[in-house]
Amino acid sequence: MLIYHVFSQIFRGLDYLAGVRVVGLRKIFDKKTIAVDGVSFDVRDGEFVILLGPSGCGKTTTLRCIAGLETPDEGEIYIGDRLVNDLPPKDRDIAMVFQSYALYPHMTVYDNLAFPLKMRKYPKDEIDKRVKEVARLLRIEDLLDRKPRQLSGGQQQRVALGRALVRNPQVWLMDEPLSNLDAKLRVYMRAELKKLQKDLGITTIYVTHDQAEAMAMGDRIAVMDKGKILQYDEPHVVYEKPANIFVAGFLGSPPMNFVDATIVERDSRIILDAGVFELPLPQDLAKLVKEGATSDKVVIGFRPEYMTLSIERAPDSVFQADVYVVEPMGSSYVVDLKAGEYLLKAITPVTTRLPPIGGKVWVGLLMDKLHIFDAKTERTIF
Amino acid sequence: MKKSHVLTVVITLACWLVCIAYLTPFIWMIATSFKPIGEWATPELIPREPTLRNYFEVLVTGGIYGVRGHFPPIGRYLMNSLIVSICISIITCILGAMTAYAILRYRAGGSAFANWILSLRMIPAVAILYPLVVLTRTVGLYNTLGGLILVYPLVTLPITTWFMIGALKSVPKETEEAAMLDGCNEWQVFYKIVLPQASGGLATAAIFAFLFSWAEFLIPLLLAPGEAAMPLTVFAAYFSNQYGILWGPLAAAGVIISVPVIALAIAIQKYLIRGLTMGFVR
Repeated sequence: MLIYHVFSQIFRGLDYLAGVRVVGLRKIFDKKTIAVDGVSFDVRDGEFVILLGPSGCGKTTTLRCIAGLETPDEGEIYIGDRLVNDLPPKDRDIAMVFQSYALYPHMTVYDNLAFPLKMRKYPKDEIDKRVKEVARLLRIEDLLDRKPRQLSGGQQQRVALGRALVRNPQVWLMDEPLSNLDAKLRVYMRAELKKLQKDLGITTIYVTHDQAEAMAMGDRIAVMDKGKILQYDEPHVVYEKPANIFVAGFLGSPPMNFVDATIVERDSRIILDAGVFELPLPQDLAKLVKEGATSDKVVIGFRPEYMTLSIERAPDSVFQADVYVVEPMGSSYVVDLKAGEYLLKAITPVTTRLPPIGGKVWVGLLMDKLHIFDAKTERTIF
Repeated sequence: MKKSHVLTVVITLACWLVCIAYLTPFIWMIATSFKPIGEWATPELIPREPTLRNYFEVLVTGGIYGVRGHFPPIGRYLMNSLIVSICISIITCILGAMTAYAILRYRAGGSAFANWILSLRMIPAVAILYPLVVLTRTVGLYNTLGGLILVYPLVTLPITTWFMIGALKSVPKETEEAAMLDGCNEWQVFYKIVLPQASGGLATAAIFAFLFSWAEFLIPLLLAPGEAAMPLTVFAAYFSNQYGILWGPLAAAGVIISVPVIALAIAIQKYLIRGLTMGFVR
């Protein structure tokens, strides 16, 4: 609350923040590589949106188009209600944090922070006031006289954040800003950044390939692959109700297990035959599968944390598997199971009784957490 | 003895050999500059009766052993050399940095353009001198400092451009993009963000341009034979004339010409090596 108060004092006019709208964005490099293929999404005022995907999926190119560092081949980009396609980066009223921080090495921290204000011809005392406020907020007051190379990675990161927020931009763009930090600092900065964004209420678009970061920070996540947005929704929806196999497999660590299965009708019941096990479907699900599948081939997906393991057969046990490897994680075990040709991962509490390596264990699946995908279209059936 | 030790010894010996080969004429020149007229042709290295007369004649009287009026004192030519060299190092640095930036960031001239520029350096100066004489005469720049300043970049610009390409390559592109978002236009990005980061390379390029134009001989010999624009190098050559070679004053002039070069080279040794390897060892 205090931080919010301080900042609303410095940045008079938070009401002037605005959302971002991207419509049909397309970017082709060298006339053949389609980096972004018809991407559309909107970011609400003050929202924290994550563009998530593997490297080369077009997320950074999308961000750079919004920043004005790349020229889109097709599509429109709106910041607030302004169409910004033809505006140079400096006139878009955005700030960007780069993966490499991109601090100016020949300037002190103070000058780095003051640079965006100097370029916009703010009065000197106003610059000084703002730089000091930002430095205090990010706890880098003692570093103002240093050059970037005299700072640690975490400190450089703070300076980069400071430079991005010192002039109160309409939109924050961040390109994997935490990926150069060590694991511990990354988790710490993740929370700091989220808090800062919420306190200041700046519309933020954040690019990452780290699904944990995306889940932890985003108000909404756009999962991208091959230049397209596959799903755009709140983190828990993307996680619990993935739109297709790619999204289901990309989120979660360890990722979702997938098993190929065939739809079989036996004694007027619908059964999914996966080879290693058979899964009789309840009436309502059976109907969905029959209507939704384009052929008799489907893929069953289940997350490691929704599996139960027991030495004796339990009421929810579905199939038996061999214990392949056990990875202790401290609070839980990740158990690798071998079932036929599949290597499946399950997460189980450390209190679970497990047979020795190579021993048999019964695997139970939570039916309401099960996902069934069409094998051909890879889309979710339910 | 280990193999690596043998190698070190061989390399050291080779280095000394090269040094001796290059330094002997230079040491001889220094020795001769202190020799009186009777000793010029003697084979001894150390002068029997060392004298400063040669320097006195070259720097002060402009005469040769009592015969005045042979040459005006060196000051005029020293100024010519200084003016041309300083102008050239400023001009070629500005142009070289801008050319390098255009090649790197805007791919100006296509992918082979940098090599084209360098190939200019490989043309023997003699091959283009006749057209240059005609050209400078036609536009009225023959025998002027302006003419030299216009022509010298032919020699210095390719090399400074290459230095700057190497230096600018080490400037992270993100800092330029950050500056664009922070409110810079492309010019401001260039001189506020890119150039300061490449200042080491810029200094090396400036000094190289200075040294090249300071040592240039053939171009001024043909383009500036008169007093108005003649640089030191050409002036020194006139000690070898129809009356014979005046070894003493010639050697003294040679020492005077090389002093700033050596001083600069020692002062910037660190940058020189970095500049030479910049962009090549990567």
